This record gives sequence, structure tokens and C-alpha cells, in this order.
Amino acid sequence: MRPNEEERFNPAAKPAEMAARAQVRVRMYCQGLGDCFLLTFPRQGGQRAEFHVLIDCGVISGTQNARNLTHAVVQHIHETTQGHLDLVVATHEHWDHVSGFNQARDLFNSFKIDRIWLGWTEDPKDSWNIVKDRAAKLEALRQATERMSPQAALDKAVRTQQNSIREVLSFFGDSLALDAGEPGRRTTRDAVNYLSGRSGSEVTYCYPSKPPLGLDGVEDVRVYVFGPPENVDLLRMNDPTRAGKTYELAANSGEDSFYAALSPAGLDTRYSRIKDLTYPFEEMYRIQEERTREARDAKFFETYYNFEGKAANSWRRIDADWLDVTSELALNLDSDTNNTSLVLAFELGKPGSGKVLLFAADAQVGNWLSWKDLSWKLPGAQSSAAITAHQLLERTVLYKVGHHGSHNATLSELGLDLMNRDDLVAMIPVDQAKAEDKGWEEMPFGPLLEVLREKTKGRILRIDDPGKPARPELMRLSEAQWDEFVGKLGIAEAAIEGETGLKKLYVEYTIPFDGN
Amino acid sequence: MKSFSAPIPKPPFRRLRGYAFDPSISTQLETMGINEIVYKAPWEDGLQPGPVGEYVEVVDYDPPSGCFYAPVDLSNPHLIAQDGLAPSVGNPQFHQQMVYAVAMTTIRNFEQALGRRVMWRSHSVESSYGDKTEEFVQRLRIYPHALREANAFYNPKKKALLFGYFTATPGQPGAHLAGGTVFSCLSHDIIAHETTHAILDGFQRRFIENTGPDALAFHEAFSDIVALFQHFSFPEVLKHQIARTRGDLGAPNMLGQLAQEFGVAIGNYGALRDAIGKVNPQSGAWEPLKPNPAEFLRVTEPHARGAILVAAVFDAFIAIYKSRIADLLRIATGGTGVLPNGAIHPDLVNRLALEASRAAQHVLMMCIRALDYCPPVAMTFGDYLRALITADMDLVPYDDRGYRVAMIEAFRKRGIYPDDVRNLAMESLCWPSAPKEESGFFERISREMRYVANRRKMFYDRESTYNEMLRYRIRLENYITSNRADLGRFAQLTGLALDPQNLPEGLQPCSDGRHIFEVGAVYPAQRVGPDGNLLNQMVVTISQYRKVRLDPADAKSPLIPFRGGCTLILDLDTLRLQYRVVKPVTDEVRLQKQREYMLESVQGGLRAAYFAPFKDKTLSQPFALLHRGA
Repeated sequence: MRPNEEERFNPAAKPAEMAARAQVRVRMYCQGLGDCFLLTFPRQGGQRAEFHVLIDCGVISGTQNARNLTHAVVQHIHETTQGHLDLVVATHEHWDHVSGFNQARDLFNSFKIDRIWLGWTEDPKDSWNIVKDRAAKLEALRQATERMSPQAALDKAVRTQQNSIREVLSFFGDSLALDAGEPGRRTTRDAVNYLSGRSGSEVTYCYPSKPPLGLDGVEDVRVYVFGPPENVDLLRMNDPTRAGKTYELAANSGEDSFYAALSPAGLDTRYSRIKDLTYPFEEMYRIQEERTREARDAKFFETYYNFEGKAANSWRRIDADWLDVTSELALNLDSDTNNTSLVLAFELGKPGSGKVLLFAADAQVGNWLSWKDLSWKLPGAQSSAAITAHQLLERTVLYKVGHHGSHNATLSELGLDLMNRDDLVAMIPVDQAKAEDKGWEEMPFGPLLEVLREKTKGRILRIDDPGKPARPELMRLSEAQWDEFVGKLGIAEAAIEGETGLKKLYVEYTIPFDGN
Repeated sequence: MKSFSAPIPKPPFRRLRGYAFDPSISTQLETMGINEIVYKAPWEDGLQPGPVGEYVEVVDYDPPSGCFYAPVDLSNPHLIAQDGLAPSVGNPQFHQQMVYAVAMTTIRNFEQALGRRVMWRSHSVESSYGDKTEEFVQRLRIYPHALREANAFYNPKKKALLFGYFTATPGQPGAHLAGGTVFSCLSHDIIAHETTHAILDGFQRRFIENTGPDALAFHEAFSDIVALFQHFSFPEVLKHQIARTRGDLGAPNMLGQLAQEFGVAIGNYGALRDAIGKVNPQSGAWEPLKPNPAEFLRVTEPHARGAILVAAVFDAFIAIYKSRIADLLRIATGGTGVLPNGAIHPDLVNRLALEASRAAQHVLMMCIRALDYCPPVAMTFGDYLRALITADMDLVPYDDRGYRVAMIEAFRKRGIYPDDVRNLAMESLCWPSAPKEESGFFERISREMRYVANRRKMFYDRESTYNEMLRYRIRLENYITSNRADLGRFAQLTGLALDPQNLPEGLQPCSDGRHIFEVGAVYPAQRVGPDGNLLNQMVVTISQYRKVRLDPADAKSPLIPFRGGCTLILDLDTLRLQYRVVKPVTDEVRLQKQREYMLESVQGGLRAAYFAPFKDKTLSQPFALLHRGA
């Protein structure tokens, strides 16, 4: 379906203009609550004048009409890039970042994609097997959730819990939370595997410890990799308010026992291999459930536990109580995955002094904290001084806000506090109404929004802005300054199948490498 | 002449070996020598395999492993002769023994302090007609290996304790445990803590409702206090620590540090003792934390608040211990306060350990006894201080050791003050009585109670006691309502709103709709004080509740429960009302505070985002959520 574009403000800069004046255009697509960013850089060498980067393409599960919305967006990307994406970045394995690669698979197949960047945690040579573990955990959690069904049938509270867990797991494209009309059942793993396995595309696994990356043919742009952290403690640190490291580490160690209980023996997964170790006692002490009848103490079990029929004390059984911790673990898995976000900082212009665009995906505490130790030397640089991540933060002019503005994905001290430029602009891929529908009351998080408003002086772009961003009440900018900002924006609407009226398709912001 | 063989007396205790500290803590505790102590569980005739006795039934079912473990028979003569099985991490039957031993020790401490049998919370059964009946629950169920997580909790719906275990596997990035399995059922502190939750629940009070920052905090803090002081009441536990310490024997550091180390194993239990002290990062030595009264005003998070209460009671304990050993120190050091070089004389070590354990036992008794003197709803830490002082004044008229002063001082230093009290003098803190002229109504009630209390059935069979008390609750409710003449004065003294012409807004009927108040519990309490004085009392709790809007100005604001009530302590010998602990349901100031608290309770983060509509589960599993550190 060809979108019917109506460009209301300054039309997107034409390629010729782009090359004339070095500037980058950052376009936030508005398919719904999810990330999909198209960055367009001017190119000096080669046949084509522009270099296109797609960072993520996804929308939260349960979005109405997701398929058509995603198609409209990807179709538009196809037109803008003439079917040729120079670089696709998939930041982490969550539905609202990669669902598009499943839902618009047919369209993506028609693209030429030169390079694909993924976080090092996706590297099959990664000795920690993060991806394999994640898959095993996910499978175990899905099983645990299903095992709650008999209890859920009797107890409303358990039913509610079961549904909440399914919601959390739907971030991985849970097969139980199908989007209406989606063909087959695809998961986030499928999406990422599609990208990493694509013939004709070169895959790079990005490490913060390696030198910054370049974009072919684009002069004066360096991309620094901030995350995922290469320190395992930081990788697992998710919540700044979690009391005490001891607890967290003990709890993490305990997870293995739980997962092993759900994994069948004999498979080639970590949990399967350690299953035997996680039994608390030697085999001679264990009386299997099925064999209680033959045991010497059969009468005892009969009286106090009674597996068949209704015993007087059946209300004291604990068959599924041990699964209660599933909710906690599902949230942990979710947070851990967020923390493996590939965080990129694009430095424009001369190294050491240029503007920076920060795309923080959904990085949580540990990821942010790891940045303070990062520094890079530029090969052949004149000065021997290194560039640190914190210096780059200080020069950030565009911040893609983490996790749709939730409270735990933007660090204040050592994070947002360092972003102090006058021309800072924030982009939040949030749809507050949709978030509330899902029961997330504080998205975007009030206090965070306050701080962002102050730092950006009101220059915040959101998916759910109806059109032009509203002029803030307390004007810290002069009329002229506000108009100048708006002048750099582009907004387009389109009629999309399944949606009534015209829907905002994207909002874009153009940033010159030098000056204003 | 016929020969006559003297009857063999029943043993007062069943001796059972157990671990003194959780064997999986790989800290310097391991070098402390023998990790075995002998618990003394009250003797039960005919203890069945499980063990299954009068109060508890241990059912060793392990759902995640899909298996059972055979029940241990502690009545086997071989086990009786050896003080039970030898402590062993790898034998599930020993775990059953340990859990039984510690639970029974805890129960015994409560019975001793409260002067009556421990009862579990009744089981609500809904009939097909929709009406609820309460069934007596004979035994608390204990599952020693129920979960695979670093946790343990009391499930109020199932009247069961569930203990978790987990195996730390090698080769895992970030694993800090040296391999092997950690069992929460082998930790004395955890078992005592969870059993306390169950016992408190049996008081049939609304301790769990989240009406203020102290409510949730108290349950946790109190359970930790019981665990801590019960642990310290074993002198063997302290001997090694005392012997190791050189220098200032009166220093609280070693006991404070020990208290914390016990709790560190699985994280949560350590958190409540954080306010006692910590290791100074510069010097590497453990130091007690300076109490800061301003902190108590600021901190609202249940764990943090609970930690302050635990630290306050611990401070009092240290003061008491110091006063008890003052003369020993003088004797040992010849008045200089400094010991000669070399090891401390073992006799001295024994005496010091004994004094510390006695002080711990006394503090434990004080803290448990105070429960009867607490208001039935919406308790604050300040109320608890008043209860502590009143209960102690009742039982121990001559406090020559200064226990009460130590308590008051410790609470004062941490900024815990009761509301509406002029000063912290003991007379002001003591709950009020009723003037002699007013006692007529109470005299009649007490006489009824005395008749009930004297019946032998009461103290013989717990189930009969339960049924008797249930009947009595209903009788009392009817008695109060039908006594129109005295109602006014009764209402005034107890703070209850009983005038049908003048009821506060939103007052709800209780007890099948027949009364506007509910007699929550009626229990006898028979105790003996240290001076041989006998106390023969009855504790009655009455409560009421209102449904009011969270925001009085907003008609669409949700309704919240606001409770009030009173605790009455009746002396059955003099037939007088001794103490009344009053929390009127008409108290608008308290209502306002509760509203503010509830409005302020902001919950952020993923957990709230996903599990916010989760309120039902919260009520049935409050301990689980608390323990998981949500």
C-alpha cells in the first residue's frame, strides 16, 4: 500500500542539499510503541550520495494493526533508501525492537543490506553463551508458566499472575501472545537470526573495547560502541534500587537450580547438563512421586499429601508454589536482555570536538555504569589523549531516550547529568496511551520527563505528539529559537490500511555537523 | 506388703542436635569450632514420624525435584538415646529434625512469655451458600524443601512454612558460593523467623494490612528480633566469639557483628540488621552504627524502618548485658577494666557467655509479652514501646536491673516516640487503666471470663480451647450490644463508636452484620513473675472498621479501609480492667495520616508496571513479596 504522503513542514532535505552541507537526518518512525530509526548521512565517495542506517524496527506485541503499520513504515523506508540499506543495527532481542524483521519479512527480503551490526553478546563465539542461556531460560520460563495452569484454573490470583508473566515473555515474541493475523509463529530469535544469517550482508559483532567503527564513504563520522558491557557483573546489574549486591549474586546463583528443575535431562543445554547436580540429595533418599505407593512410608504420604482424590488437607498442597518465582525471573530475564543493548554514539565532524548522537537502546544500570571506564585512542591521532565515553556524553546533541522513557533506563548521575549542551534534543519512541493500555502507568516516567524538559528546554520529540511538538508553556527559548528548532523538523502523515484518517508516519530532525 | 514402683517422670524436653549456624556460610564462622548445639524441644508423647506432633507436621515433599523424602521417626529409641540424628547436610531426615527442633523451641518461648498455648490462624472455608466458617487448624505444616530459591516464607492461606534451597553450580560467572547446596531450612534464624510469622498470624489480628509505614515493617522486624535473641540465648553460640575477643570485653562490637553475620547468609535476613552496624571500609573493623533519630522520620521503606526497630532493641540488649557483667569485669581486672595478656580464663568466658544468653532470653521474653499489650490494629513502633513498658511493669514490679530504662533509652536514641505522650517517663508510657468507679461493667465481664478461664478444658486440649474462645467471643459481642445502660461509658473508655444514633461515616457492620464491632480475640494469660507474683489475666481485642474515600474531596476516589479498636487487659483476680489500649475509629488525625501514607506509596519500576493489578496476590502472599525484595 503506497502511503499518501503529505509533507507539512520543511520537506526532507534532498540528496543534493545533503552533500552540499554536511548534516545528518534522524527520522523516528511512528509505527507505535517501539523503536525504528533511520539515520541518513551524506556520502563523499562511491556512487550513492547518501548513507542510510536503520536502527531497530519493532513495535510492542499486542499493538492493533501491527502488521499494516509496520508494512507502511518499511515500505516508506524502501522508498527513501531506494531499497538499499547501508547498515542495519539490531540493538537487542526484544519484540519492540525487532518485530519488524518478522512482520515485514517479505519487504525486507527485497532490500539490499550491506552491513549488519549486533552486540557482541550475539556472537556465537561468545564463551559465555549468553544467547544460548537466554533461549534455555526462556523455554524454561514458558514451561513454568504453563505448569501454573491447573492452579490458575482454581485461583484467580494465580491466573492473573500467569497472564502477567505471559505479558513479560511476550517481549520475546512469545508464541502464546500472537498478534492478530501474523503468519506462523515467529520469535525475536528468528528475527535476529534472519539478520545475522542473511546472505550478502556482512555481520559485525560490536565490542566497546575495540576501536570505533566507521561508515563506508562517510567522512567525519565515527561510531563508538558503549555497550553491552564486557564485565559480567555490570551486565547483570539491572536495578539501581536493588538492595545489596550479596542478595543479587546469591539470587543469581540460585536461578540455575530453578531452571534445571524445568529442563528435561539429556539435552545439550547448560541446565540439562547440570540437572543432576541440582538435586539436593543423593538418589537413595529420593522417593519419586510416582512410586510413593510402594514406599515403606506410603501411608504417611497418603495421609498428608494424597496424590489421588481429595484429601481433607489438599488445601495445603504446594504443587505449584515453587513456580511463584517465575514472575521474578521473567522480569530478570527481561532486564538482563535490556542490559545487553548495543549502545552507539555517532560522533560528527572532527574527533574530540564534534556533536554526538546517542542511541542508548534499552540499556539499564549496569550498561550505563560501564561507560565510565571506556576510552578510545584514535589510530594515527595527533594527540595521544584518549576520548572517553563521558566526554562524548558531554557533547551529545541528540539523545534517543531508553526504554520509551521508563525510570530504569536512563541513569541520572554519570548519565543524563553529563548531557548539558544548549542544543540538546531528546527523542522518545513512546506512545503513552498505548503504554497505559498495557498497564504501565509511568511511561514516560514523570520525573525523567521533567529533567529532560529542562535540559532540552522543551525540545522533545515523541511518537505520540499529534503533529508539530507543542510549544512548552514555560519558554526558556525565545520565539525565534523555537521557530528555528521547528524549522529543522520534518513531519509526514499517511493513510494506512486499518487506520482511520491520516496517521503520523514519522518525525525527523536534521542536524548540521557544524554550527546550528 | 505389695511392692510399689515409683512412676517415672516425663522428661520436660526432647534433646535434638542441630546446627548452631547455617553450615553453608563460608565465612570465619567456620573456624569457630564446633557448629553443633543441642536444641531442647518440649517433650511430646507419641511423636509420630514426620515428625508430626501436637503443633507441627513436617511433610518433606520437594516439588521441583518431583520427589519425597522419607519422614524421620524421632520416637525411635536409638534416636532418643543419641539426642537425635547427627547433623548432616546430606541427610534429609536430619533437616526434618532440625526444622522441628527450632520451630518447637520458638513455640516454647512464645508459650512461656504469653502464658498460654500457641494457636495457628484458623482456616476459612467457604460453603456452597457463600458463608464462611472458620476451622481450627491443629498443626502448622512445614515443608523443608519446597522451593528452589534463596528464600523461605510463611503462606497464610495454607498455614504452612515453605523453605527454599538451591545449588550453586560451578563455572557460573559471578557465582560466589563455593559450590554445594544452600538450605534455608538449616538456618536457625530463618526457621525461627518464619515460625514467628505463623505464630503472629495466629493472633488473629490485622498485622499485615499496609496502613502505615510501621505496619509491614513491624511484622518483619519482630520476627527478626525473635530469631536473633533466640539464637543468642544459647551460651555455646557466644562462647567462642567471646573467647576470641581481646581487649574491651564490654564492647558491643562482637555481639553486634555476630548478629549480623548470622543474618548475612541469604541476603534478606542480613538487611534487617544493617542498622546495627557495619564494617568500616577504612579500618576493616566492624563498628556499630551511630543511632540517628532524624533517620526514623525520613525512612519509610519497610525493611529500612524495620532495621531501626531491630537495632533499637539490640541497643537495649547491649546495655542490659553491660550492666549484668559490670561486676564480673571489675573482679576479673581488679578494677582496672583491662585484662592481663594471654587467653581469657575459661571460667570468665563461661560466665560472660551465660550473662549474655540470659540477657538475650529476658529481652526475648519482654518483646514477646509486649504483643498482648498492643492495639489490635494500625500499630506503630511507638505503640510497641508503650506495650513493652506496660507489659514489663505488669510482670516485674521491681526492675532493679534497669531493663525498662534501657529500652526507653534505646528507642529514644533512634527517634522512636509514641504519639500523644507527654514525656518518656515510665508512668506516661504505661497504658492507662480505668478509674475505680467505672469498673462496674468490666467487673461483670471479668467475672464471666474467670468462670471460663477456670474450666480445665481451657488448658488441656487446644482444639477445645479454640472452640471455647470462639464461643466466648460471640457471647461477649452479644453481651456488649445488649447492655444499653452501660454502653455509653464503655464506649468512652474503649474508644469504640457504639451509639447507633451517632456513628462515624462509613462504619461497616462486622460479625455477620449483627454488630458494628468485632471481638477479634479473647485469650487467657497466666504468668509468673520473677518475684513469684502470679498474674491471672484475660486479653480481649475489639475492632471496628470504616470504609472511607482515599481523597475525601473526590467522589471517584477509591475506598480504603480505616480500622480502629482497643485491647483490654482484665485482671481476673481483682475483676478490674487493668489496661486499655485505645485506637478510636473516629480519630480523624490518624485517618488523615493514613490517607497521606497511602497516597504517597509510589511504586515504580518494572515490577509495579507489570504486576500492579496484582493486589489479590499481594494479600495472600505478602511475605513472599517482602522477602523477594520487590
